Amino acid sequence: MSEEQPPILTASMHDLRHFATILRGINFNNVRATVTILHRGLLVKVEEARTITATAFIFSDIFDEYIYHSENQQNDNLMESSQGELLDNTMFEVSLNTLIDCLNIFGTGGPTSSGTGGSGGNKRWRKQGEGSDNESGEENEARGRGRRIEPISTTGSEKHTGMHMTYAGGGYPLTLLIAEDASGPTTTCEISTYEPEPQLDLDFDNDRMILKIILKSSWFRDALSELDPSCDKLTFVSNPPEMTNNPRNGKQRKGSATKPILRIKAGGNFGTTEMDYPNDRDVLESFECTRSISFSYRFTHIAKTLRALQSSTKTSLRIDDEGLLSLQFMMPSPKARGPEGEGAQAFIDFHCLPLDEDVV
Amino acid sequence: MQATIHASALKSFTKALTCLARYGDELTICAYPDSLSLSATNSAKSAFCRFKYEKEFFSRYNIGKPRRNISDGEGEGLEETQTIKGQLLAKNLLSILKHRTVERSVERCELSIVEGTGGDEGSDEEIDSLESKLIVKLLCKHGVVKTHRLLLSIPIALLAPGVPDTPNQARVNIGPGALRNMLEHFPMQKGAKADPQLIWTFNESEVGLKTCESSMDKGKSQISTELNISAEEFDAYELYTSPIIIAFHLREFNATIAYAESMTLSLDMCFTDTIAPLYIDVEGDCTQGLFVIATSQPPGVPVPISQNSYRPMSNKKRDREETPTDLQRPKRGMKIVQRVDADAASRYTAQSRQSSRMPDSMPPPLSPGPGSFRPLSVPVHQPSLSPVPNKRREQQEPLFLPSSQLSIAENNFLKEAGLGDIGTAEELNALLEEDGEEVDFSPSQAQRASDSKQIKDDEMKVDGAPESFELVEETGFGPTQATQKGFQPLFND
Repeated sequence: MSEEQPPILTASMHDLRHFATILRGINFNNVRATVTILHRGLLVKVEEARTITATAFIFSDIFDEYIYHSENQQNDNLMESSQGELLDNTMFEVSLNTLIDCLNIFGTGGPTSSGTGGSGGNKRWRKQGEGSDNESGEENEARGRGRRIEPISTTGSEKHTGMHMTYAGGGYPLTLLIAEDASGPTTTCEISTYEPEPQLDLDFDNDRMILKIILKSSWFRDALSELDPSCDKLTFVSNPPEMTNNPRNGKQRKGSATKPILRIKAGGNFGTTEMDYPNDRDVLESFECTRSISFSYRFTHIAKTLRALQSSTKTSLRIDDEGLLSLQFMMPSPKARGPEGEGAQAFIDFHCLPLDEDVV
Repeated sequence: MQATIHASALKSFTKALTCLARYGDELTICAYPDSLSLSATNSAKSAFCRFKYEKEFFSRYNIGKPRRNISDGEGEGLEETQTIKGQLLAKNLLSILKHRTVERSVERCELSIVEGTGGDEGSDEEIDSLESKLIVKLLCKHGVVKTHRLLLSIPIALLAPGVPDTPNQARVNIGPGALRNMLEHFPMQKGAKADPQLIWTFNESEVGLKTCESSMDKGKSQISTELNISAEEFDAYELYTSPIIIAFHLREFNATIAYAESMTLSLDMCFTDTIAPLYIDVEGDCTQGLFVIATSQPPGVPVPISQNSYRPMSNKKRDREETPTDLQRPKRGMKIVQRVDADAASRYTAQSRQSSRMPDSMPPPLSPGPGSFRPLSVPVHQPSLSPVPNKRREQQEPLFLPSSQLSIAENNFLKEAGLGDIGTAEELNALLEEDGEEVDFSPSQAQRASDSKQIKDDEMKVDGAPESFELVEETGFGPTQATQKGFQPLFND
């Protein structure tokens, strides 16, 4: 550590689970993540197969302490980054797997219970029981209150695994100081950082947007999880609502639309699966579609979003005229609750290029 | 075929599917005008499971194509009475219906089978309709519709085992909970390979369960457990003779118990003999579950006389194969389900329908078609020692070969025996009769012998054949299943 100047980044939080959950949501297999340090927070981005990118926005307010000393003038390595839109930033690469493993070093970085319930939650109970007995009692109580959509309760004197993260600058490791609780054991991890490499930029242009759907994540999660893992292709078919009454000869079942406004289609060796969603406020919170579209994506890519999806509350699904898919998941934050916590939501963004229908 | 299952009934349907999936990977669906049957057979063909749902189980059930086009209704009218069959991987269907969201959100489930029609239907569904498909349409809350199209393959026609209706059949009835309590005393190894076997001894007033230790398990399980339980624990306990000793594997049996437990139904177990399979009926509302599990020869149990005729022959063969397998090793049971030729499938259908209609009664034995199947090998000197297995053979109608023609294997067999110019079974039988020995040298026996071994040693055959004939004369020609049992380990994994 350089003693003479403050580290570029100092961040700490008393409960690292939320942070770990977000990072886990974008954890592709063994890829390095590019971390961009901004004044507003951290931007962690991964990419795979030049087709899909995942970006996590972790705003500074989810940290208890977040100090960013811009060092751009003194650091030649990072000069190129100043060309970006966000002038004042610092980037480095780090192995995301290692980072997540370090956060979970006490087995307490398990997924925060979020909008999901389900099996992830059970795992967490076990892990927490190992970590701290006080905690599990309280958490169980919280669970009894019906935590299905509630993020973990952060009332009072819970003891969570805390974290203090520093990054001194280019060439220095990312240093994590993790304490299981105030009086418990602590560990210091130094994770090698790398110089950032050029990234794939799949920018979603709102002007070219054709489909925009906001729905509860549980719907989308159920849809994806019901698909057979052997599926190779996933297709989103969407039609503008007004076209659904277009009369067509053939099937007329219960007056339902001949053209679904949203259909998720998947095919595999076993057969095909189609899921039709009606334009019902209970299902789709908002639906905008300007023309009929049908774009296919590789299922393994879409399936990578599942982990983030599982811990999110809402999903925004957008597709532009070339089929670029943008999935944005709203990650519930413990601090985001209540009237004052509006800005504290974290987001995970996935951008995925469609399969070329002519080639496939 | 269209069937609509309401959410409440879907649960029991899914439970049955879970059970089926534990019996076998492949699920065969047969839709009859008044019922839908789902069946599965394990890979060794030693356990069979069938659920039959009455029409009333479904909130809507009809078979045949929906009459969309009245113009060509005549052609479709012919198909109305047909049964529809298909086969698919059980886990594919199960994973759809068992998904945790289904229970929560599905309001009803529509199953339909669309048969491949060569394209004339393709126009309105935009889907290639060459293949038969099972369409599972889940209608969920809020109007969400999930449509799964699963490809159906042409089922491998299997002869379902029929239930014997013999006076000397033992019948016991017991609830799944009591069975579970009995079985939980026996340590079960977890894992896919573990398939423990228990020996059940049904006595006048009590039932004994014993760990069945085979050479393969030796060393692995050091505990031999024995449990005796009063017959009063059974809700019904009817034996025609005692003791009856049967041994069978528990993997499929446990699946049956789990199903019965989840449905709170009791198990009706029927068995006749050590070597005859165990039949279990689990009946619920509009549901009939039939489970057939092959029994095996427990070690240390006196071998039924009908089995003796096979022992010498199989012993010899095994020596020649240099397979030092333990002869006392209990064999994974004989096949209780037989494969059928394609042309026999239609007849199988008829039979199976009858038997599924009345699972408690034996379907009438079908007389083999002229020349298409070999005559049943009822021995000439058949003592009444083991009538049941022969009956089973009759109703199962295991169809190996046309009677008038010998298989390649048989011809080889005969050539090696120096009887190469015998072309048909009749000639062979005639020849054998001339020899003055009254035997039933059935083609299937020969085939089986040569199949399993490809005997090259003429000497052996000359020796071996008369030997077995002698035994046949003494003790009667037992069921062919026993032969298979003797040979079984050579095929088993």
